[in-house]
Amino acid sequence: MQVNIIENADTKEIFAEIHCAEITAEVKRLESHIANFDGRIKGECDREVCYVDIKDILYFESVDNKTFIYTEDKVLTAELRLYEIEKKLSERDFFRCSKSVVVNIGKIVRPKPEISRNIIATLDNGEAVVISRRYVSELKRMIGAED
Amino acid sequence: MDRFKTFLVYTRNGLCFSFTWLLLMLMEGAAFSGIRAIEVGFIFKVFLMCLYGAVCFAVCFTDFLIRAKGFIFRLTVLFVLFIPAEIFTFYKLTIFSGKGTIPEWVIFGVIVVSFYITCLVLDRTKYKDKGERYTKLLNDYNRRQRNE
Repeated sequence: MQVNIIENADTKEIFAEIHCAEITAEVKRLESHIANFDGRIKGECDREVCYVDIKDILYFESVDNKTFIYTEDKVLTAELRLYEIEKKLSERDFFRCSKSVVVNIGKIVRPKPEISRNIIATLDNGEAVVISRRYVSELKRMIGAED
Repeated sequence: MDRFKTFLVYTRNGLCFSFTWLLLMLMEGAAFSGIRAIEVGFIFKVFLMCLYGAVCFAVCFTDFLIRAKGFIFRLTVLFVLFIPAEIFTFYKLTIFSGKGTIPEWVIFGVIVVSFYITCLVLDRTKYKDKGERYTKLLNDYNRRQRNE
């Protein structure tokens, strides 16, 4: 892969362009790495803007058109919608587990399948999120648990 | 708000399903017993029981009041809320012939208990093993991600 840096005094904001013959999974990964190179996401907590490290996020939840960011000790309001966050994050680290939740896969410590075909995923802080049956096959594909 | 809407949809669907099903069973039972008419008051009481059952079902199997809990927990809450009410209504409405005979109530009890035990056994065996397998695969996946 070739990397070019073009210096131009007229450029107002740094931007990166990826040139490729075809958008492959690797290209998508590269895009997500560049987009999140500082590894933080903007949120609002007690009416103050703050940034939270992506690796500290447990999950994102959309409730009544608002998106919340859950970490071990904080709940922040995100300015982006859930689908925008999903696009922004690496699909190998975060996973859409229901209509309203995107979870950090690295924070799941125990996935427990249920008779109802959902999975109850216990996170490393003891909290649990539901992986609804619609999204279970995607998780299984990722971890290589396809039956 | 979304959770409340889901709760209402579950209640409506549960009520339609259970009331239609119970009514069909009652009509069939009445036809076999040679009963030619069912009282409106009786149907109304059946409707109330179905409504209560549907609300219990929606409470237990949506995220409106109970969040991120397992199937067995939800089923247990449903049984605790609904089975006593069901027994009371069946007894009061004389759904079994009269107040019901001991074998009829035993059959009813066996159906309820065996359903619960089957779910419990499946949860503690098949799904527990599956969970352990998924945990191992997930740990391997996370280890690979960290090393890349």
